[in-house]
Amino acid sequence: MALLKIEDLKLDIENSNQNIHILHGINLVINERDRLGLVGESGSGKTMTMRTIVQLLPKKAKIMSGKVIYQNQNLLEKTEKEMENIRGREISIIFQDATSALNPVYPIGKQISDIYLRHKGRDKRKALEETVDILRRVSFPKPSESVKAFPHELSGGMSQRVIIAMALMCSPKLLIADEPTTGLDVTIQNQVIDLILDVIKETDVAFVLISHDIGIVTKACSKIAVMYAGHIVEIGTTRIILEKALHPYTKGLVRCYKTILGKRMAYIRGSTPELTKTISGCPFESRCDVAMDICKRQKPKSIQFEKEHWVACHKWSN
Amino acid sequence: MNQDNNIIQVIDVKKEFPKIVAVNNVSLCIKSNETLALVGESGCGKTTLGKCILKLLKIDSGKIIYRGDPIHNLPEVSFRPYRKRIQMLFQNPLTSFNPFYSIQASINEFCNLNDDLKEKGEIIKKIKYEMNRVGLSQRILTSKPNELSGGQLQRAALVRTLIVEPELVVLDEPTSSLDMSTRGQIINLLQDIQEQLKIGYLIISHDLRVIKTMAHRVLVMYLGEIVEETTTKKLFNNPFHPYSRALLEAALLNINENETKDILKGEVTQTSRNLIGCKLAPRCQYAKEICFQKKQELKEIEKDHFVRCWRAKDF
Amino acid sequence: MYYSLKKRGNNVLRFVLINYKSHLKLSFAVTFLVLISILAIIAPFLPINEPTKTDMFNTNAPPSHEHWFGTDENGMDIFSRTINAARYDLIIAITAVLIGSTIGIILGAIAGYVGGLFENIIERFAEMIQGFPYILFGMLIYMMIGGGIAALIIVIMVYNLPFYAKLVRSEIKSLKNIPFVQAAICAGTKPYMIVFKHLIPNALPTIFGQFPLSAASAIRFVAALSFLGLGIPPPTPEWGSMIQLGANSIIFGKWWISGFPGLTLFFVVWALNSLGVSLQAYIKKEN
Repeated sequence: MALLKIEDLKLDIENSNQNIHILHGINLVINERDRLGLVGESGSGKTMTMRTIVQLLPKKAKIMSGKVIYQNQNLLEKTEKEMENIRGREISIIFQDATSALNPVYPIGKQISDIYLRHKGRDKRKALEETVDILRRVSFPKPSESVKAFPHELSGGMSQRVIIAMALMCSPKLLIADEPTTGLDVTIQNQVIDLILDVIKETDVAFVLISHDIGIVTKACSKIAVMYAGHIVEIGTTRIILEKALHPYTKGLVRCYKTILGKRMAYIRGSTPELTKTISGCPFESRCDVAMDICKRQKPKSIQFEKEHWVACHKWSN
Repeated sequence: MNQDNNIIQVIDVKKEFPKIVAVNNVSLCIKSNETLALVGESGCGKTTLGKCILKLLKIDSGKIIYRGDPIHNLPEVSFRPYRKRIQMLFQNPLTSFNPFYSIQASINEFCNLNDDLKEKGEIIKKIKYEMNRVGLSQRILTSKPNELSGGQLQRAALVRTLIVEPELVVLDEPTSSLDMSTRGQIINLLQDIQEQLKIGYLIISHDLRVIKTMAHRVLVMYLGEIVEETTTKKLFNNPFHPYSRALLEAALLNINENETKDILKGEVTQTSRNLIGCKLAPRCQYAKEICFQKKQELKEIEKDHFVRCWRAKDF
Repeated sequence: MYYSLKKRGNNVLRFVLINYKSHLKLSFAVTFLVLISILAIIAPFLPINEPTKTDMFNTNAPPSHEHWFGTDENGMDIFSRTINAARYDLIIAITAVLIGSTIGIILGAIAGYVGGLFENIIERFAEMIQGFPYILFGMLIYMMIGGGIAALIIVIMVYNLPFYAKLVRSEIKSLKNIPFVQAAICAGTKPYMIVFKHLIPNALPTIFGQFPLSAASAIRFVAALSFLGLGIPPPTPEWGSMIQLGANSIIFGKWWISGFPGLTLFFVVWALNSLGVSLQAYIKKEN
């Protein structure tokens, strides 16, 4: 059951000299109960894709074309007021830096309750009840007392739990986590991911995890979409991506991830292309070891290679 | 330990900040043509220790000996000759260059340390040589830091470091701010340079893949103390300390699939820092009473493999 | 290595040009400042009446064809006096602020980097100076060494010094931990070079917006002191003293004597303040 569909999304950022092309026609389907990972490095456009869904784009960003279909409506055509009703209620985002997402002047209980009061009704007592309940669900110690705590009294991991609680307060249909573990200690990262997966286990919520760390994504997600320079280059189940990836970039990335003791570290030669240049062919062509003539001239289309496996590469176009 | 080959010896160094003991009686030594890794998460003191070696911070007790010369108490003026021999590569290449000056200017600043580079001609030749070695084109010399990519800047920082012909380079998270796909480029380059120049590296990192590739020996640190010390091979094949195991597990590098999950509960708190016994005890699933009460020393559990854990023998 | 300063200058110019159209208020302020500065510079060469030429037959005359802004009780042409006053006020204020801030910046930077006893001493001195209200300080100096341009410059200098020292010191303290400063230490760069080459250029942008504000304060100060008779003595034209001269005549309906210098003073201070505030906002945005 398709919950959200991104159709041919093209996004630019307007600069004084020239436009920076961020997204080049993104097509993505998110189903109910999905555990989708969006993997990409700097300049891949993964964060911008998600921000487009909730319309939290920087001022200079311009949507050149495309649709975001949610519940039979194009989110891109909605007004800001309509989007405000959707954010936090139907679609929630967790951002990277938990501590800066919390207002230091208000206790966490109030910040969480405010979300309930905004979307679900004015009953303050009910809001408090729900707040304590959600804090318990995110394994927050002593939830009924903790509602009075202030953000600066919490550790990093605890703050992240509060953010998760706020995101799940209104039982959204789609939860997007944008690099929620980046910057956290490795041993805490797992805790956070395990927690998110635990809390959403009972629900129907679709979960999208955005990260540059393919390791975390393989742990948390059942399906992975790989992005490169504003294109989606491959989509597959986690197993397919790790063992049977087709796109040269995906293969390279997985190789970098699976380093062998004693051997030289794997890498992909070259660096990400400059986003100001319009590329007529495949964006990965300059770094690709198996590039063909056609790769310079024509952008590869995404084709379905097998069940649950799509790839955009001329090598596999037949 | 082959005394003759030691570039630097850190003996029982302690560094305190208000309320926090960042480095708690740590000892290590690095030989030429060898890479020693300091592994641990935030707050373990590895970066602080690195800065102490560079004399960016003053140690509170202990000794730092450079090829037999004690350097920890030297005033800056006397320490200057050693600056040529010990250098540092910083974590974020963008902030390790002054944004106002060109790459050329930043590199020139380091030339003062190398006495052979007095004439302009010499300097230009040397820079050209090093740029070639790291694979940078001469064109970027006139660029400003914000015009270059992370990978290019890290290489430029490397040129700057190599200009002075150091014997020991402290690498502070050299690839953390780089994309995964380009990390290998820098790491392989560093290894090549080590082969060519026999430089000793102290690599500080929390990225175990990088450690796995580059390091010969590893020191695992937790809250200012060394908890495990051994060769890279032994650590990845057979980690003893619960913290090392948790790190390896978290990085998905744990070879032993069948064992129970090595996870740590909770987080680092202020109280756990001040514990008398093992600092990891509150989070450790194997902790017994003795762990909370008595502090364990680093003991050799097998040949060239030291662990600070009461329960190490049980694993 | 004056890269840094040149670049800053370009940025200020570019900032003004880009924002010319989009911020009406700012463009007006800048235009006004430029205009009055030009007038101030070429004033002696302008074909207008002499500022100190008295005309006892034409005292307190309202604005007319001959005297565009009218005359004061000594028959001196107010228009020409207003413009010439700009020379004094602007030059005194800007020079004094520049010197005072430069010394303050250097001392503050060294204090911030070196710390210890030096920093403590600077801090104490700064507190002592800043303990005095601006005008009171001026009066004190007047009592000690008399009035005049030199005294005014000294006061403004001394007053701005601790302000900039403190401003820069806190900037420096946070800059000290940025890797490129640590890299410079690893390069064996001597401390004074680190302060002048690395720290000050990076601290300057954030305090750039302060200069126009300090200049505005300084001009108000000069005018206020002259108004009280402690600053620039007449017949040298100065807005403050001109206002004072015409103060008694206002109730008789002779508004132009105080009015024109007053308005000019107001606009100059307003323009400088606007420029300063906009610069600060722009720099904050850039960061």
